[in-house]
Amino acid sequence: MRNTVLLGAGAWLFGASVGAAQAGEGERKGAQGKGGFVVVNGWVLPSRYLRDNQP
Amino acid sequence: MIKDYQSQKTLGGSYDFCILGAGPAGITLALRLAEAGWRVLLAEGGGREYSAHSQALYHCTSSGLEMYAGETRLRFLGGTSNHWAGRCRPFDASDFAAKPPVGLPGWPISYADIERYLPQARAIVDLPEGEDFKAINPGLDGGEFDADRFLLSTPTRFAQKYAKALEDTPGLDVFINCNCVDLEFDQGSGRVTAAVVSDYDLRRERVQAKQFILAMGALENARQLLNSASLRAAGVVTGDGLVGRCFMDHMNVEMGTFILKSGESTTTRQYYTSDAFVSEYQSGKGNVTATVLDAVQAYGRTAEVKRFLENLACDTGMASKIDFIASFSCPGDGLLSTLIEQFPNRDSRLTLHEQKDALGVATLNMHWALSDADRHTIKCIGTELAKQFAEADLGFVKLNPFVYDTEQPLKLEPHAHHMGTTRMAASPEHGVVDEQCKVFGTANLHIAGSSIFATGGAANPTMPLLQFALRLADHLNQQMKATTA
Repeated sequence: MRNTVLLGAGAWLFGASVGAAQAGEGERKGAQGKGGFVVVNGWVLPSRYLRDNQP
Repeated sequence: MIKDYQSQKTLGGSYDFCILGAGPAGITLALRLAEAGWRVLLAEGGGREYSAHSQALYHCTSSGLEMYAGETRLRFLGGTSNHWAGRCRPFDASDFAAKPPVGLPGWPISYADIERYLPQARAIVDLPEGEDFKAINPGLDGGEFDADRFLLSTPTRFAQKYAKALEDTPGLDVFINCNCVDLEFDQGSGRVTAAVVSDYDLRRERVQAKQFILAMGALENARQLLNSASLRAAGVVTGDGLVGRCFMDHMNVEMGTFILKSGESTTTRQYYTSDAFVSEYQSGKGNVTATVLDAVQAYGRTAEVKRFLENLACDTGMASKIDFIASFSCPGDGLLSTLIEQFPNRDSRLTLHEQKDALGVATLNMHWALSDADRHTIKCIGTELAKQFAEADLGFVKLNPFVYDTEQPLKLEPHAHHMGTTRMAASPEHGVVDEQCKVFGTANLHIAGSSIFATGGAANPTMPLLQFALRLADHLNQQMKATTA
């Protein structure tokens, strides 16, 4: 995937600079329980929506 | 009685209390102290109504973030309450218990010290008796964002509400068009001996009183201290001291937009950081308000938003889905605005110019500045709110890049909640006034208003500053009684 940064378990960031990857610093709490979040073009989305086998 | 100092030079010989500034804090103090039997002068620089020549004295240059110092304040009887919006949220106990993570102490008093004045402050701003502060929506699951709780004042316009009391209260002299231009301090006694007042024709007069109280707003309170040559000569005000520093406002960050899941209510939602959130992220507090766009309220959501949700839910390949979202530029269903706490910061400050205003008082420059800690607060609140919004299945949030990328310039607006320029502390090393709002190094100079706030929390400051004014009135009344006895 182009322009993609791995943030941590289940969390990806697309379409932004590497510096913005720290947007995931709040992963410690709510995000962990459901597999993390992805930031695409500013949209903060549960990563389950962006798996090939989504729920 | 209300008199016009421009035409009536009939100040009394000497007062028990000289209160400078007739906004919410000054009016509250003046009425309480006069009702307690003291001889009180309440001096207001402006007139009964707005005038350009009075307002021009609020001119202030800006070298930092723009906070609209000339427009957000009003310089006439009633002060800035004349355009107050009326939102009331009290401080929490945690506002007083937490130490800000920025090298300066928080409040040197406990919440209990002002909590007992909340019923009186509520009555002053006409909140319904017995009604609790209300949430308009549930909080978000996860324990990080509670529902915000608040009440709306009518809003109270102090000059109108208290017009009769200001006219009729025995012992109270109210002078409008009576501008404080200097404070005279005697180093030997440690006392302010006079406030110098002026009309608009530069006719000056010394006002004597046993106690002086600055209640002119956060910018003018500091300005008067900085402007006084005798306070500077005595070392009460120093160049590296805290007078004028630690200016804080609440930050209205353009957080981003959101899309609601189908079937969700389109009414406004307001969330407030929990104490657990603040502790977890070592951040400031904040309110986030989600407001659905008027057009969406009236006509329903756009086809683009529907397409966004359909695309997200469908079983297309990940790469094409990412491409779609990356190019999706619809504004969404609504906007996220904020009221976020700024931490005290020595570099966020007022200074004086050499240049004087029309009455001979040094003019002001404001350098409103945020710190890394403030960017951290904004980022944590934005990213976590967005996650919790999705986890609660309310919908999805699009954050503006400067929220999560602290290298990008921030876009924000002030809330005109001016605080901190004469902050309260246990010692002069960390503040300007002591626990009783008395200026360190003086025996009889006190300060009222939100300039004394050590930290600002994320509560609208008008009602809390009234709690402090009521507390100060009690203290001064008791102190004067003890002195007189």
